[in-house]
Amino acid sequence: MKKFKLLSILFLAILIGACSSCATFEKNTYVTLNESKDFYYIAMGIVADLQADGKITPEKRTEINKAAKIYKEAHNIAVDAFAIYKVTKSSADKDKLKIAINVAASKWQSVAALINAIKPGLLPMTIKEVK
Amino acid sequence: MAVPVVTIITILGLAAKYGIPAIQSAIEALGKEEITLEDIQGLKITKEPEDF
Repeated sequence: MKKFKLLSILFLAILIGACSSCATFEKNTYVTLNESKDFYYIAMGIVADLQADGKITPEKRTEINKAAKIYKEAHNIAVDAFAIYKVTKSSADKDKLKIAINVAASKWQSVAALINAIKPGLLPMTIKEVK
Repeated sequence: MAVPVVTIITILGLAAKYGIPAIQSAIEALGKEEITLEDIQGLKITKEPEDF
């Protein structure tokens, strides 16, 4: 059942990636950030379930929370960069937005790695790149 | 346009585990024609990790 859930997440990510590949930069960005927001909520829900099942110690939970908080901040910075780009449409702000998304994606890897260390392969390690 | 059975099964599986809102948001994001500043602000993560 767990493997089915993992496959479901990955399938959805691939589906989203494939469907959005022909869209505009704005649409791609929106879909990617929406996906990364959903990943956060799904991941933390899984963490809460694992802790309730006694599979995560309080110390490990603290470690995961720290990484998740860093990811949350990075994601929200990317959202702010998107809002700025939406207004200015400048190439400089577009570049800043791409960088912010890449930073958030790297922070996501830390969160996913911590959770996957407890349940291997549970979460995808990457978030779709925006071009 | 016909939706593949595997897609329907996948979406049902995700909905069963993670709830309808997460799936609904992914589908809505794909179908969104125009993205407003309000939509963008809605992308922010507001719940702290320790609140889960």
